[in-house]
Amino acid sequence: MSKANASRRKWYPNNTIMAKYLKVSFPENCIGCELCIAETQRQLQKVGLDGAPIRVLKKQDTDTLAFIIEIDPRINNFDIEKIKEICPTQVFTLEDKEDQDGLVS
Amino acid sequence: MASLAKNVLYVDLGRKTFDVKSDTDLHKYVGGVGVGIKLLADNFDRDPVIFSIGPLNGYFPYCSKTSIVANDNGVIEDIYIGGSLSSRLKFAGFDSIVVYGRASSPLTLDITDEEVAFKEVDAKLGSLGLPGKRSVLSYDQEERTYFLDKYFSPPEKILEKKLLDKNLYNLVITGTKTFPVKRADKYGEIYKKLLGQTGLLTVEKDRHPSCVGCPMGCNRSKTGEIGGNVLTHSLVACTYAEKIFSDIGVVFSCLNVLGYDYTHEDIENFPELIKKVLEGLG
Repeated sequence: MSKANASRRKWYPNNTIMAKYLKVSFPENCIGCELCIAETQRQLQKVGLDGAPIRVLKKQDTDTLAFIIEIDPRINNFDIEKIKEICPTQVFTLEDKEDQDGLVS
Repeated sequence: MASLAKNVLYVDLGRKTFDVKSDTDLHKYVGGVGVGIKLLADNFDRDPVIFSIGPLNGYFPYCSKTSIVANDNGVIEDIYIGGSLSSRLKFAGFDSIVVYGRASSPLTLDITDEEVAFKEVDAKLGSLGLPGKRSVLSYDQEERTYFLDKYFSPPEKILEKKLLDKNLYNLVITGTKTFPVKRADKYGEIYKKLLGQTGLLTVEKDRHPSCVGCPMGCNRSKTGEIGGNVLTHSLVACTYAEKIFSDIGVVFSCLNVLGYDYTHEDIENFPELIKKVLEGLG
């Protein structure tokens, strides 16, 4: 690699703390308690459902109660560790944020 | 300070009209079964079915029940249903809904915040309200019971008798309001403390659909409750969290951080107040 190329691309050492993002890894675990929504709203010092970056939707095409979770990318501006931790059924995981080239963003 | 008035939605099924009233006299009845019984007494001749929530619904863990009060052939019944209904009522801005009269034909009631629409019984329920912000209470012809969100059901067929008699087959409630939390740090502290007290609950952790605000996913909340502790059910907390919400100190802390001006004495004495209202009903 030329010296010029090396200066344009920033390579991270192995011990870099990577940025994390919240992922819905196990949606089938969701029991619909909405504690995750309450946590996000609490971080905004309010209660309610409107404007929450997480939506817990009830599946329409089933005979029983099951859930779909939608998250807005804005979620990563929140304390996502707290959101992950409050879920009683471990629906969420924190994943390393990498760009398409496998580089840390 | 939190509002001293209770917001009550009155729905006349016979005339297909509705009205929202703000009532400060109901403040001393706290909420849930307390407010429900007072509203029943005030509207006794209308034979109403009264859905009520308490001051802690939507704010604290395990406060996930909706109280339903009705006169069942001379017996004043109070039943409780879990799921998401109490949170949707809170975020629609109501403390109580008083349903009275009889519709001329079976119908669906579609409530979004202060707007009420009277729809045909065969209205597509999934198209009403807003996804993620609604609760759907609907009558299942095969099971001969009401289900909330296809899962939670009321106990002992009392609601079935009362609502079918009024020709109310479906009730969809959507709540889109948010409320600021003023003492956020203290509120968060109490919330976290309560959430950590699952060991005081009388149910085991499981993976069933849970009531909103409860991490337990227990197998008991599928069917609602009947009767029980007046204070717990005025708040309206789950009966399985009675050890937490029959503690006056805990209750006072929760109410205080939300800005309610109830004193310890108010909380201690109000079951007696309810008793007097019941005695007045004979």
